[in-house]
Amino acid sequence: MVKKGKAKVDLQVQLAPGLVLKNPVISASGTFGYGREYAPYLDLARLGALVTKGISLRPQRGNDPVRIVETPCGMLNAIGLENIGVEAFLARELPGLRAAGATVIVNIFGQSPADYAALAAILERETGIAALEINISCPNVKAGGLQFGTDPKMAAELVAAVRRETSLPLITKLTPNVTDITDIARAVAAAGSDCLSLINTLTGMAVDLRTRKPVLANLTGGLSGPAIKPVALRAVYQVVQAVNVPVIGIGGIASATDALEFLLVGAAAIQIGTCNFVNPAITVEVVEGIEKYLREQGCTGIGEFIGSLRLPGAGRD
Amino acid sequence: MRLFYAEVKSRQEINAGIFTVRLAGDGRFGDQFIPGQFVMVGIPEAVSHDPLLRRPFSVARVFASEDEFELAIKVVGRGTTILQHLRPGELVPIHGPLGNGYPLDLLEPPGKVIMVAGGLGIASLLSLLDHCRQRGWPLEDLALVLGARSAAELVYVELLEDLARQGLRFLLATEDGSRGQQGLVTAPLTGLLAAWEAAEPLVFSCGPLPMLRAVCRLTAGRHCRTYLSLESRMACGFGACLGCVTRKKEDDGSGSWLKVCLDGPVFPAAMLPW
Repeated sequence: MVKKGKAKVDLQVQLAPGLVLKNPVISASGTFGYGREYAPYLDLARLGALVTKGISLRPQRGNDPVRIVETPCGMLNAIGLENIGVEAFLARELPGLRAAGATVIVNIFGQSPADYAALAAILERETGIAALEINISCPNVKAGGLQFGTDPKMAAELVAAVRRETSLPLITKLTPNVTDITDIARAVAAAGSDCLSLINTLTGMAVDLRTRKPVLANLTGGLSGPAIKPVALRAVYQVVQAVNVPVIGIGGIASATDALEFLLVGAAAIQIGTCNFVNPAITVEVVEGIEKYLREQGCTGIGEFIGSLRLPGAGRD
Repeated sequence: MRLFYAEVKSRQEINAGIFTVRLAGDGRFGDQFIPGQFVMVGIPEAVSHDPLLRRPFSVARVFASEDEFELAIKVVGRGTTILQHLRPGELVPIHGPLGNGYPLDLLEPPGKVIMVAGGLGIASLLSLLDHCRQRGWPLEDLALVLGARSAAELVYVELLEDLARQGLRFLLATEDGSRGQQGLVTAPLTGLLAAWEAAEPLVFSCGPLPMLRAVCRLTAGRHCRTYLSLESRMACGFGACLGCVTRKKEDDGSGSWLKVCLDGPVFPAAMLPW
């Protein structure tokens, strides 16, 4: 038997037939810019993957300020999917990410299934893209995003449209703003999504008692940060039970302990979002923390740990 | 920009709700700092992630020989209340220096420099004043106009009055007249601009938005170059969250935004819509 504390732990996880990550830690879309913003703080190649800001066919300006407000243990944002558009992304951002050795997942969104399909067709031709994450869950834009993510039939049609245009591994990012997240999860998995990521932000609101006005110009925003972790953990647990595709857990992860909790309930990987703002080096610290924990637990591979939740009445305890 | 834990060296209550805190650098802070830059300060007691985000504060002073720096902070909420109770020896998470800072290439004597500060905006401009003095600028060619609602909201006044005795043109106004002349900074600034316009002064301003707009209006069309340091809500401070954006001049509603954290916080007045 290998001695505790000495063994090398295999952190590799497989999220799709063509998508194996060196470790399960991914930066979440909308919190990691185009990756470049974080290059001064960490080696992008050390991440399992990074997910870009949501990319659309044409540049998008986003919402007027005020765009963010802090809330207990979290924040609300209503950025409104501001981005430079796919053309500028490919010309200005992707080459640097390739050179940095980053595993790049491109988050895509549009106003119609045709937009999403067109983006997939464009990105399919590029080298240096490991997978696409289909955003059907942004709560901060009037058209696109969330409208597809709350209806299982529309969500499935959209995923199928993207699937027809690309052989790239597909991840679909789900919203928690539905009655039963497993309905959507089953629908998009059946439509050809290789993997699911959840949860996106919860819709929320903040008002200013002094001025009697909403704080955000958009009136409502998406709640993120440690405040939403219990909701996310529940949703991931439910979806893991409901589908046969890998699930990426997202929601308020602020430490290796938080990340391990998601892996424990069955997430094959995790994404870190809001806490990147607080500590730009957190993703790499979580990679190290997961490895240390698994080594201490005597695991040789992360697969031994994923989904090892002990349910009451199910086993010896 | 650097991430480190800064030891609290000292903290001083200035007035009700305003304090200064002096922090140890990480050995290179003073070398990297450009006047007008800011730091994101983590809340050290927030072990349960509340408050979660770091807060941006201008660096008021850098003590190069000790590699220490000072912030001036007004208590506005839970985060700043916790910071108000920091004790010497405690460690504070610091990210910075961040932002562009004032345009150092323009800041070489000779010439005249006018600094217009509102309230805690003095923090940012004090670092600029220090820089000018270090560059050997005669104090007689530097002017600082400081305004606040009342005497209770003034910081660094003794320091500035001391410099005034050495030649700094120091003009003080409070809205309630409790110290200096009664009224807004616009009155003394108007007189100063008229007196110094022939020298084509550089004008730098930091403070509340209505004051910055007034400074823009007063300097527009005059022979001076005006730079404004803006404040904004920000989650990250380094260009990732896009929370701090502000409108460009001649923005028709389709163009991109200015990021206060990365493109600023210091902007030429000509870039801004007022």
